[in-house]
Amino acid sequence: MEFAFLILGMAVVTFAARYSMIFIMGRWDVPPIVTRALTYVPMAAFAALIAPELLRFERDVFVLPTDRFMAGVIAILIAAFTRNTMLTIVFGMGSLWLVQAILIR
Amino acid sequence: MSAFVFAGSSQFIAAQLITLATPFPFIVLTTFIVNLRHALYGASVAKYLSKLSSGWRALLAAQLTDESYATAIVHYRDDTRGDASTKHWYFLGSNLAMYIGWQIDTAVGYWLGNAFGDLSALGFDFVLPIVFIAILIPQLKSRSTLLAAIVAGGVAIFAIGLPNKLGLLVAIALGIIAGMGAERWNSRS
Repeated sequence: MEFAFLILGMAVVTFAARYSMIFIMGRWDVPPIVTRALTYVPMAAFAALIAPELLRFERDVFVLPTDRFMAGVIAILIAAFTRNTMLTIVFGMGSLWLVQAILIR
Repeated sequence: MSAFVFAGSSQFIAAQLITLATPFPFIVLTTFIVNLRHALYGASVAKYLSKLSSGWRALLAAQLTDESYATAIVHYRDDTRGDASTKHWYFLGSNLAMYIGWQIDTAVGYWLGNAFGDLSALGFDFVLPIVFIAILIPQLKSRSTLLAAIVAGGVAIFAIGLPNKLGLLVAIALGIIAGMGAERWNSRS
C-alpha cells in the first residue's frame, strides 16, 4: 500500500517538472533574452548527456571507457560528415562491438 | 512503476533507493530533482505548443522524455518539414513510441534478467549516447551552438559526479551562457 503512494508521488512530481514550464510560458509574455537562451537548450542538454558516457572525472580520477570513447568519436565523425541518423547509429554500435572484440582478443 | 512514472533515470535511482530502505518522501524529492531538466525541455518547446489546448499540452508534457524531446524539437525547428499546425501529432507519436517501447522493454528486461542474469557487458545501453550524437551533431550549424555544446559537454565530464543529476543542470546552464556569449561577441565584431 505504501508502495502505491511512492509510485503516485513519483508520478506527480515527474509530471510537475515536465508540465510546469509549458504551463507558465503559455500564460506570460516571454522576454526575448529567455527565448534566445532556450534555443541553446537542446545542444547543451545532448552534449551534457553524451560527454560523460565517453569520458568522465569522478572521485579525483578520469574514467575513460576506451571502447566507448573510440566508438563515440567514430560516431561523431560519421554524424558530422554524413548527417545521417541511421548510418551513425549502425556504424556507432558496430564500431563499439568491433573495438570490444579487438580489445578482448 | 514503468507504467505510471515513465522516467528512466529516476526509476533506476528509485530502485536503488528502495533497496537501501530510503524513506519514501526522500525518494519522491529525488525524483523531482532528477527530472528538473525536463522543465527546461518544457520551456524550450513551450512556444511551439502555445496554440494547443491545455489538454493537448498536458498530454504532451506527461510523457516528455530526453528521447522524444530530441526528435520533437528537431522536427519543430525544421521549417522544411511539414506544416507547423500538425507537428504536435509528430510529438505525440514520438512520445507514444517511447512509452510503448519502454513498457515492452521493461517486461523483456525483467524476463531476460531473470533468465540470463547480467547482460550489461554487451553494451546495448550505448545506443542512447549514439542516438543523441546522431541527433545533436547535425544541429550544430553555427559557432555559438558549437561552443554551447562543447562547454556543456566539457562541464558535464567534470560535474557528472554531483548527486541527482544536478551536474547535468549545471552543464546545460553553462552551455547556454557560453552560446549566448558567443552570439553577442559575434554580433559585435
